Order: sequence, then structure tokens, then C-alpha cells
Amino acid sequence: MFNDINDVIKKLAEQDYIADQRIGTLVYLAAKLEKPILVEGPAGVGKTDLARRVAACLGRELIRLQCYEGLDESKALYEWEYSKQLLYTQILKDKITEVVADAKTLEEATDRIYNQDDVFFSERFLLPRPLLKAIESDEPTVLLIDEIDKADSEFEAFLLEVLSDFTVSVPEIGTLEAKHKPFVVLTSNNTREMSDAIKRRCLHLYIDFPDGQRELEIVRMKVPGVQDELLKDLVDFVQEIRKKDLKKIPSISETLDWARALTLLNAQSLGDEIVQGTLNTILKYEGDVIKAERELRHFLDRKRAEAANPAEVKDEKKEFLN
Amino acid sequence: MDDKVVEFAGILRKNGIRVSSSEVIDAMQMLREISLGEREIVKDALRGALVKRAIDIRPYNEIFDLYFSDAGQLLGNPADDLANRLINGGAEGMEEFQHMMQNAIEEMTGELSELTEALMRGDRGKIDQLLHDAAEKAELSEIQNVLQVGQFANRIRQALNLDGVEIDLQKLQDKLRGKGMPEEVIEETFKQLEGRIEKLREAIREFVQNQLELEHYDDLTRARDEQMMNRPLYQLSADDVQRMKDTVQRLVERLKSIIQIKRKRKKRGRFDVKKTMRESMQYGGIPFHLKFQDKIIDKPDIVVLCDISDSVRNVSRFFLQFVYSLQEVFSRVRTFVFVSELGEATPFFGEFEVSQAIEKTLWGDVVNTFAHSNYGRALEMFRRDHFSSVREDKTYVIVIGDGRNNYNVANEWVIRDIQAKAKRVIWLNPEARSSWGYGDSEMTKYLEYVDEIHHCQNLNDLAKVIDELIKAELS
Repeated sequence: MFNDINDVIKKLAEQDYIADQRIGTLVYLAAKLEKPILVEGPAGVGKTDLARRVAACLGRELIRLQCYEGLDESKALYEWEYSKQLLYTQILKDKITEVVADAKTLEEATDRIYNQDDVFFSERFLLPRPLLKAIESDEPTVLLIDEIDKADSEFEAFLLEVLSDFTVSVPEIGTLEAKHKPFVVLTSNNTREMSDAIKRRCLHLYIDFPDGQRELEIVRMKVPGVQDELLKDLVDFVQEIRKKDLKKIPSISETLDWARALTLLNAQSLGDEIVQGTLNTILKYEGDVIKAERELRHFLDRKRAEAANPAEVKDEKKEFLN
Repeated sequence: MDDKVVEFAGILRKNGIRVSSSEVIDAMQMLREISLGEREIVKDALRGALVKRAIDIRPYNEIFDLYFSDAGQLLGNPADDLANRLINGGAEGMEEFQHMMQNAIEEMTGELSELTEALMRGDRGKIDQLLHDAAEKAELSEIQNVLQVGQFANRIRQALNLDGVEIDLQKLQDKLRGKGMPEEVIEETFKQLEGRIEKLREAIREFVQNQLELEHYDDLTRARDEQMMNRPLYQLSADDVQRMKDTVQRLVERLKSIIQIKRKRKKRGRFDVKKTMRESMQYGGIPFHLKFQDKIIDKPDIVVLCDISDSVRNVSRFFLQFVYSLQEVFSRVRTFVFVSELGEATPFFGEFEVSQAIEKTLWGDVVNTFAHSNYGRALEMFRRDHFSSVREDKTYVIVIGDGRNNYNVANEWVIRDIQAKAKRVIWLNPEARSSWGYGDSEMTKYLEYVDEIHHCQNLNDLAKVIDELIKAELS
């Protein structure tokens, strides 16, 4: 486990995940208090990735349950393997005939079969789905329940039960209890408000778009080989464009795509001719792209002015800070 | 610390943030795991336990800052230890003075008040603690209104014994002088200390102000929200517009979730023989699973006709905002705007982000907005070109406008046709009922063929309309 908050941040950094203090604090506390953690925030800020990296940090297996509309218990928890059961009965037909061979009445035969029930309803024929896998695992795991907002609210209610005591009761077998409480991470894109009940049981972490410094570090780490000058401009520009009224705001993953595209194209600075054509890697709507192109021109003009007359601009900045 | 968490949670609750007891317990457990020295970490941790909705984050931050106001921080940044600097730092040749100072302070231990020492050492934590103690003594939580700020600040000053500090300093000064410390060094040192005391005075006032805001934070924000909800739509400021956007978003979310519930309820249809048989093949024909047909669900179909003429322009901005959100949420919304001519704004709303789409619409990118409104003509155009957008008994038609027709032909028969075909016709009118039918208002003529009519002048009205829409949709 983690020693303290800084330890979390350090270990995540070793796994190529730049966490800010808030992320570190919440992950540390969730681990310490053994509580599930609900991660919300806009798409593409690294919610799923956080779970993955935490698993790597702790050296645990990551068990992932992707939610979608119509997801139910049999897909999430366990399912009986009917076909396998059927196959076995077919193959073992002779044996079964043997068992009931000298039974005198139908009732006696039924009883004998009934006594063998356990064979067919044992864990052997139980197909564990992610939730049961996490509970049954001999080693502690990290359980990621991804995009919980996509699942129906009934499923949410069912999940509550599992999350509160980590036991599952299978009618034919009995209650299965978790050997180790998994570290649970739930993510939500906020397409709908989660129920209060589930929120109450989780610690809540809202990850927003990163600030410039953090984004810079992230891009530097994930896309090595971007020149410092270009990298700084690129992040500055993305940060700026996020404040604009856009239909879809670019997220970190889009910044990374853009950085990759620019490295592939061997761009030296944002002023290059080729950059104009790459804006659609960060923006997904035509209207946004047009707006961003204009913004980019302003941005470059401003930079040029800054380069031409650095002292003046700096003073202005200083004044602003004061 | 536990009491503090409980009290803090109480204040959050008062401000409309839902906090359950189990969450308070979580918060307490959390605080045992982290060092309380780091304010930001405490803030993050408490937020993780107590605040579960993104919209509550902003009020939480504000309340946290008010409640755990770091009074020491109000002092600015006197982190450098003045006494220490005098004792250990300084230029060469100062050793003598340092020695003097140290002696003086040592000799006076016990004579100087805690506050004086804290001020000299720049110990913010200590100052903060003393300030809170004094506030308790002065019964600061009783504060009622702005007029009492001065009075309470005074009481706290007395409780802190701020005057005593001045006397202490005077004594210290005398002592140093007696030891033969040069006058200019004394002066320099004590000028800084005076500055700190002055800052502390300001800090006390600010502290009281914070407390007042905290006690009434709830009232302030709620009053602001309520005011906005009831204010006529054309009087809103830019800040209000942002809040209004959030509110509309919430209303639309509510509409959406209720419609989803309804869909769910209706989803399971008749027993499906074919599917059940197909599914049971793998079990040798034994029907393990029963399969049902999915009912085909009608997605709500909305057609909006919005007047954007001068007379309602300021209001229509907000209606368009609402319609824009509708269009984002529902797949089948078609938006038409009109002044004298009618045009479709749907693709616009799909392509541009909200304010731009609205701006473009209002500035004549869809229809000429510098004409005079002509309902009759616009309706006729709708009947001729877009009547097919209204589906037989499936479509809600929402008309937004004041019905002021500049004495043109009313053409109310179009509304009659629409009503005959659509599921419901709803008219939202920003004008008060009493003025309908007077002057060039043709409302009385249109009224006859409208299923629902709402006087819709502010957000509250809009909310009511949505509620009724939902009810109709559910029944």
C-alpha cells in the first residue's frame, strides 16, 4: 500500500501518470479507508487511466467492468455455464443411467439425481464475471467499474449491495465472501447524475482539465521528442482555447494526439504552414476548427510581439500579477 | 476536530449541499489519516468525502474558505521570524544588537503576552488560534448584520488585548534603549512590528466580515438565485446569463431523466416466439430464456416556432438557449425562427456552439431580422414548406412569441391545422395575459387552437412549463 500522499504521487509518476495533489490525496485516503472512489470529470482527462496506473503501482491485477445500457447481473457477476452443464450430462449419460438403474420407482430415481445435484451446480460450472472475479481472487485486485453512468439505475442499485460488503450469494452454492477487499474505482462521464446512495458510499474525485504546468508534464512524458519551444506553445494554446466557447473542448488525449501529429510532421513551431491543417486533431467540429484557426493567428501574433519586445510584455505581466 | 467537521457539514447542508451522516464519519476518518497542517490537502480530502456533485464544488470552495478562514493568512505573509532575524541574522557588526535583543526577550519572558510573541515570531498558526479563541469569547457567531461588524471587531480586539501588545512593545523598546541599542535599529524594528499590528487590525475586521458572510451565505446566494428566477428575462446581466444557462441545463436534464424512466417502463413488449426458439437451440430446444419483443418507443418529437422580432428579441435569446439545450438532448427537435419570414435554424444549432448559434440567428443569418413581425405570413410559410415536420399525433409543437402581428392577417387557420395534426400545441407568451387581444395582439384568435398556453416571463415560468410537459408526457 501507500505510505503517504507524496508516496502516491511519486509511485504514479513512476507509472507515467502525473497526479496533482488532489488525486494523490483521494487515492491515498481511498486505499487507507478501503472505500470505493468515484471519479468524475469530462471525457479524456485520464479517469480510466488512473485506475490502470494505480493497479500497476500496487502490483495488482486490474479487473475491468465496462458498463453499458442493459448490463445486468449475469454479465457483471456470474452466469451458469448451461452449455457446459448440458455437455457434461450428455457425456455422463451412461453414468447417470447407472445411478438410477436399480431404482424401483420414479420417485427414487429423482431422489438419487437430486443427491447428485451438487455436481452440476458447483463452482466448476460457474462462469465468473468481473465482479465475482474480483471477489474470488486470491490476490488483492483493483476493480474498475468504467462509465457507470452508462448502466441502468437498477444495475446501480445492485452494485450498491456488492460494494457495501463484498459478498455475493449464489442460491445454489451459498455466500461467497471476498478474500481481499478490492480497491474499487468507478468512473462516470456525467451523462446522468448518479444516485445519492452510490455517491454516499464512495469518495468523490472530480478530475478537471489539468493546468498548464501539469499538462506540459503529461505531454512531455507521453510524447517524448517534442521540442521544448513547440511543447510550451502547444500547451499554452490548448489551455487558451479551452476557455473559448467551443462545442467540444479538447481534452488531454487530444492534446497528446496533436503533439504526436506535430512530431510526425516534424513541425518546428506552431507558426509552421503545416500546423494549420492539423487543428482537426484537437477539434471535432468544423465551426470549432474555424474559430481555432483564427485564435491560432492571434496567438502567434501575440507571441511574435512578445519576442520582439520581451521587456515590455514582461512588465505588463508582472503588473497583472501584482 | 470532529466537532468542527460536524459544524462544517451543518453549514454545507444549510447551503443546499446534501451531506449524510455516513459521509461526515468518512470525513472524520479521513482527517485522522492526513496531517492537518496542510490546508489544501484538508480541503481536498473533505471535498472528496462531503461533496459529490460537480455543481456543489464552487459553493464548497467558498464556504470552506470562509469557515476555515486562515486568519493568520489574512496578515499577509509575515512568515519570516522577526525576532529570529534580529537574534541570528543581520549584517556583520550586528552581533552586539542581536545579543541585546536576545537578552531583552529572555528577560521579559512571561511579561510579554502570547500575542506579542506570536507577532514577533510571525507565528501564523498561533495568531490564528488566538484569534479564534477571542472570537469565541466575543460570541462572534451571534453576529446578525453588516452594521455590527465594527462592534464585533472591537470586542475581538479587546478579547485579544491588542492594546496590551502596544504596551508590551513599549516596554521592550525601553528595555532595549536601556541596554544601549542604537535608536535607528530600534525604530526600524518597531516600525515593522507596528505594521504587523496594523495588519492584524485589518485581519480582524475581515475575519468578522467572513463570519457574517458564512452565517448568511445561504441567504445571500439563495436570494440571488431566487431573484434571478423571478426577474424578467430581459433584465439579466452577463453573470446571470451564465447562471441561467446552468439552470436551463438542469431543467433539461430533469426532463431527460424523466423521459428515460418512462421509456424504460414501456420497453418490454410482447412475448417473442421466434427469438425464444432461436435462443433455446443451444440448450437442445429447451426454452431456458424467455424473450420479449422490444416495444418501439416514440422519441419525443418537438417542433419549435420562435418569434425573434424586435419586440421579443431579448426574451427570445433565452428561449433560444432553452431550445438549443432541447436540441442537444433530444434527437428530434426542429427549430424554426421567424419575423416576417420563417426559416429553419436546426442545422445552425447543430453546428455552432450555443452563444454563436443564437447570435447568428438573432443577427439575421436565418431570416431577415430587420423586418416587422408578421405571424400570418410566417405561419403560412410553415404550412406550405414545413408542415411535414409535424408528425401525425406524435409531435409537440411549441410556439414562442407575443402574437403581435402589426395588424397583418392573422392566418389562425394554420394553427388550427397544426393542432389537428400534432399531439399538442403549446404556446409560450412573454406578455402578461391582460394585454392579449389589445392593440395588434392576435393572441385571442390563436388561443382557440392551442392546447396549452403559458404566460412565460421568467425562469420560474419556464420551469413550470417543463414540469407540465413532463406530466403530460408521463400520463
